[in-house]
Amino acid sequence: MSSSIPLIDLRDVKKQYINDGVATTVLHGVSFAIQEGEFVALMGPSGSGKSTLMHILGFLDRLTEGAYFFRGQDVSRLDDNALTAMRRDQVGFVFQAFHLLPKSSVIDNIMLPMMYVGVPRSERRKKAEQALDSVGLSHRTDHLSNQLSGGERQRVAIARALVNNPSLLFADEPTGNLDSKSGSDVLQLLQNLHTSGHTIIMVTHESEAAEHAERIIRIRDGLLVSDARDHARRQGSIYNK
Amino acid sequence: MRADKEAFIINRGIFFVQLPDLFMTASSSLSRNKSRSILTILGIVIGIAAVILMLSIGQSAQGLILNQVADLGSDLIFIEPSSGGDSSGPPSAFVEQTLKIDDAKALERSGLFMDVSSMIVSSMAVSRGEESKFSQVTGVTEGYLSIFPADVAEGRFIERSDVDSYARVAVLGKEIAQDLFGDQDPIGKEIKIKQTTVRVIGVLAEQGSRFFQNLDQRIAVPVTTAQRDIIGLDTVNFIAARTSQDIESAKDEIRWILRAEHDIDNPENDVKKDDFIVSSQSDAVEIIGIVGGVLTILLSSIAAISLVVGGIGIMNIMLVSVTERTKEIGLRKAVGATYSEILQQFLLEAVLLTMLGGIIGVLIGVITSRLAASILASYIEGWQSIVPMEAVVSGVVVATTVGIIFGLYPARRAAHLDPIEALRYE
Ligand SMILES: Nc1ncnc2c1ncn2[C@@H]1O[C@H](COP(=O)(O)OP(=O)(O)O)[C@@H](O)[C@H]1O
Ligand SMILES: [Mg+2]
Repeated sequence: MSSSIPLIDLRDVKKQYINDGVATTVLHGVSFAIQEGEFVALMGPSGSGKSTLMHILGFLDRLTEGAYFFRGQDVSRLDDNALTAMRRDQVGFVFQAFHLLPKSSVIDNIMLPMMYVGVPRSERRKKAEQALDSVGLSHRTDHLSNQLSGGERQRVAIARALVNNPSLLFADEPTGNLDSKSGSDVLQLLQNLHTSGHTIIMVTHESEAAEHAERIIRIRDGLLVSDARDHARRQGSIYNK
Repeated sequence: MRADKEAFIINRGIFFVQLPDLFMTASSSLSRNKSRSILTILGIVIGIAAVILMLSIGQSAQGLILNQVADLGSDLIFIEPSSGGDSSGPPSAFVEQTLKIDDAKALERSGLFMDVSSMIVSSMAVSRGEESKFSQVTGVTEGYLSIFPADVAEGRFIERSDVDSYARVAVLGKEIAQDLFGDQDPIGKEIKIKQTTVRVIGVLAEQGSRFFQNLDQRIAVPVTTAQRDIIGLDTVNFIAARTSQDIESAKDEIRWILRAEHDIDNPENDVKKDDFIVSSQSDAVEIIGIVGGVLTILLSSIAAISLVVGGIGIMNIMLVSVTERTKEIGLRKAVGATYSEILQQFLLEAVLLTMLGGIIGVLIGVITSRLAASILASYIEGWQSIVPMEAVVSGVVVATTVGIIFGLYPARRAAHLDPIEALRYE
């Protein structure tokens, strides 16, 4: 696996925001590679730049300096439409705040991304139902999304993220708005998805959540501070700085 | 694993998202805000409906007048006083009255015309005993009936000898006869026009109205009597003649005769130097066409103003909608909606709104036009319902265009939103 081209290859990535002439550097040079099939937890204190990094990885934002290769191709050379196409065809997002359309039904929410991919209308519902089934919510198909509990909403959001068969699933603090029971359901679901072959990058600041991942990348103040895999963690080195 | 997704740049063209998707998305968001959508398009609905209604009434009136003009025949020529220039129109207080009975006589003497009649018109009180009415008193010559055909129901019409002898006689319209005499036979009885007593010698059969004037309320007297004894003027308001020649050469003949009568030195045949104006029915048709054209331009500008106002309303509401739905737009962009897909979605919403406004406006305009026509038809004889088809079609087309123009700015704003900031928006 390591011999093949990594799915994600970040090299000395820096990100600077300029607001009203004031520059804020959020990422100071982050490098790592992620292979297909991995389940990575991106950890760090609040404000350390986790979401910013995830947005760059997920083609929602652009880096300021450094390089990002996705399957060996230079992402910084893509124009806006090509970046949009990458979001549409390569990745799925799960957000802390769910971001479902509140007045639309569960099934409509899940069908939304398929509209932009160009899945024929006749196939959309079946695919959405399959995705909904895979998160265990078949009985909620025609409910309005704002009639669901938080845990259910996040599972619908996961179904929506999966419906186009993305190469990569991003989850930004997916349990942040959930009680511990729903939170662990969602984490279990993500772990099952990983087991069945999905590549997952999960941003979190909770250690218990990160336990579900097989690799933990820690950042602090925009710098990578550790990168530990399962076997290393089992050897007790995981909490090393 | 996902070799089929390797392509980085997929050329999908501008209209990638199928129209049905766009249509469903746009219409469902509009129907979610039904009352707001309806209020938004109200301006456009009212603007278009009002223009169709006014155009319909204008065109019906125009058609009615044109029909009546045609009824009078194309061989009819009118001569009116004029203070120069190329103004034309009904006798007005501001125009110096220059026509005399002698002018009509000169035309008659030329032998070029089949019928010549001079007329003087004035509204005044007419009474019989206690009964008093206001009526349009018309001084005419014996040729009047061949200019404005009507049947004599009882008695006789004014004859040449009545005109020559300043006879104090009158011929009544059907309604005024009824009003003054009820069921009695008016022939031979006397009435008073202002202070002058005249004897009724005839009653005309029912004529209805022409150019919005009720002919059955009129009273005809010899033009000489009207001038000397009733109105107190030695002029006439207009002279009418029929010709069997070519209209344009007949008009020129009249001009030369009258210039001689009025001592006007005008060898270059410049009608602006004349103190009269000669016009035929075809001139009247032309003027009515010009009036109709002006009316249409006027109404079109009102329509344009109301559509701009309506369009600004649409733009305002679409901007509100974009702001309210910032998160939705952020999400759509996050899951892969392109700039042009978001643009099309919001543009289509604006267009659906205005198109709906256009259609409803046209429907209301047509219905009210029909309604107005049926009401007017019961008051005005010969009134026909005309629904201007070009206004119906352009109403919808223009409304749709308004949607595109005024929807573009909000739609661009939506399409330009940054997905991360949009998702973070509260
Ligand atoms: N658009 C922006 N403009 C300026 N500063 C920003 C912007 N987005 C994020 N930041 C700053 O970048 C830092 C990292 O933010 P973020 O990536 O959201 O952190 P985390 O997700 O780890 O909590 C924060 O200090 C935040 O204020
Ligand atoms: Mg964050």
